[in-house]
Amino acid sequence: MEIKQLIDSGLMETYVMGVATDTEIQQVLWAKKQFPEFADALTKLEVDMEILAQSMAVPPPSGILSKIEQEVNEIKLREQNLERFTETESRYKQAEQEKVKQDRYIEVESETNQMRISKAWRWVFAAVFVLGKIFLGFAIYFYLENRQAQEQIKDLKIEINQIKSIK
Amino acid sequence: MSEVALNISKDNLKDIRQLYDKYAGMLLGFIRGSVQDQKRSEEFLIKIISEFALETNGKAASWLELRQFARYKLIEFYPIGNAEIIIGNSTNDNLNLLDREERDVFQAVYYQGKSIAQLADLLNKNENTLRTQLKSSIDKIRKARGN
Repeated sequence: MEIKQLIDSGLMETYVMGVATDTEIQQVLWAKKQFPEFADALTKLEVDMEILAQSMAVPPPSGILSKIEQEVNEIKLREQNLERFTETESRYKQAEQEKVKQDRYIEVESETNQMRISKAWRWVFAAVFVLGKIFLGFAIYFYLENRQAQEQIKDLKIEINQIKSIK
Repeated sequence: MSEVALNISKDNLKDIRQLYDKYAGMLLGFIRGSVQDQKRSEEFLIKIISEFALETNGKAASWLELRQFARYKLIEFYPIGNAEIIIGNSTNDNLNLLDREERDVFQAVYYQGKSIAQLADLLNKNENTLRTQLKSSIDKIRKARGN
């Protein structure tokens, strides 16, 4: 397509009016790059559209500027509040996650073979241990005593039997 | 309202005032043509300039960018059905230069953001014819203004 045809096609106008399709936009950008004449015509059209908008301008009533400042202020405050809320929410979520992690840790520990008890119990265990040793000592002592007594009885029985046979 | 009560920096205030001085009248003219209601146009003007000022954050923006932003915002604030064309009676000198058909096409595209394909469907016309009508309407206005 010749450059003159391209300029006269109405492509530039749809682009500047903001209603060009994706293909048309690509065509305009390509032509702008390829042909300086097209680029100049496009710039001129853009300037003219701005001048046209100026000629169709409607002066805003007084007080609009302060309302705009107020609106910007409110939007900023809303954004700040939203940021604060998001921050608090993320902190709360983090705390929740920490808690879940902790819960998991406790669960894992509860599955081990170890247990925790109060230190006061060590005296009870020591006493049980010592008493155990004492009872064991007594048990061995009486066992040996008993065995010795049995042997003596046996000897005495043999002696009595021998005396009986001599008589 | 005093500046002290506002939670906006001085730079931001300056940017808003520059944007307002440069484009508020043009934007109100554009919104007025789209909405056809003075009170609502002013309400939308406040919202659109505020949001645009925050979005550009002091960066220079062209009229075409602002107009396109306003068009998207108007669709959000004041939806017009795709199958609808609102044609207002123009008291604007530029639009009065155009014949009825050219004016309808220009207004539907410029103020309502109707695409050529949508218009072709609505008006039962060929897309190329509509493109030519749009171009000729813009050319007429430009010529009349000596551009």
